Amino acid sequence: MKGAADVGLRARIYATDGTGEPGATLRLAAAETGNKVIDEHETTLVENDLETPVPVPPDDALLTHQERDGLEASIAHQSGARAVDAVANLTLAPVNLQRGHELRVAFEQADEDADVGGRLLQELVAGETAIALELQDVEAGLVSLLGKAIADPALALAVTKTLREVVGVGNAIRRRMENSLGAAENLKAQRRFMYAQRGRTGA
Amino acid sequence: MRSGAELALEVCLPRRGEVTTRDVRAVCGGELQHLQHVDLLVLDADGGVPIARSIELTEVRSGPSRRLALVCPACREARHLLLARGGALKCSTCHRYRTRRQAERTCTGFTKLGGQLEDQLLRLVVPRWRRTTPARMVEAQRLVQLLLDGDRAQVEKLRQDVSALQIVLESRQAG
Repeated sequence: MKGAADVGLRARIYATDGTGEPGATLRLAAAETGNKVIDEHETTLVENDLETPVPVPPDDALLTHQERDGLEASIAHQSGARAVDAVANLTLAPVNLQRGHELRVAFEQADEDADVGGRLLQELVAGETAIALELQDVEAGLVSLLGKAIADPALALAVTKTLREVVGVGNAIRRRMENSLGAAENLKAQRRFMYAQRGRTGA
Repeated sequence: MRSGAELALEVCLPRRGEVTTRDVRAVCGGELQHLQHVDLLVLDADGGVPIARSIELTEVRSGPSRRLALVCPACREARHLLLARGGALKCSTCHRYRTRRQAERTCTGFTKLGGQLEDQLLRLVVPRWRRTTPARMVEAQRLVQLLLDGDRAQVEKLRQDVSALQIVLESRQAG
């Protein structure tokens, strides 16, 4: 690697020779800097000021595993705090929140003796209902926007991409609600089965 | 020492669309040792018609002893778990059953839209063998809050995107 270092191959740029004579600029540059010329018939090389030292690894690359874990936890905590701040500022429409609340009350009335897991799932479904309704409003607004922007291809494309994202999130939320309700029903069936078996197992 | 209530709680946790040797043992009790087959009525996991079927019993080696197992009607192998899906009661291999993580681990809905958290939540809340403990419920509550916060953040981001698009549209129309 000595040769490569001598001729300064690092951080050089290739330049075309305006005189038409290959290697003229290179010879001139070599004469100024004292470097050796590799081949006169090669594409000319010119020294520039971009010669930089080999980058030193950052300090955190030399951390121990424990220090690195601590750093990652700190970053995660900070980003989590930012996320929490962002979420705290969110407001759903009152009508959607009211519908979610009504659903929560209906779940409680329908299954009064639900266990903790079932109540958690019902809470999730009630919360997701308000979000899904809010998402429907967003989707409706986006569709109306698409009608106005249809004459502008670039804007229509952007609107369509956002609409696709909205539909994807909506599908994920709806599927989550279905799965959660199915799991809550599973828990209810398990509980009924246990009650039915109580006398047989001696409990 | 465990009380009888705890033991009963551990034994009987059936799931819709699944039947295990534990479930059969819980229902039949000691009589199971003398039976050659059991008649099962299993609810379909997909919400279809319940499956009624006679399943043979067999024994498999388990360390120094032998344990009862169910015979899969399709492959005739001894299994501890049979799944009722698509109108058939078969083992997970015959059904080519894959867990949600196996099936969706590269999907956007699983990796970015909360599918992974939801999977963890359902595993915590609907246990198959282990009992529900307070620590598991605390973790489940945390996951529920994370899911709701994540979805709200998604909706808020999309709402901001729509507002930005609306501003661009108005500026172009004005120009």
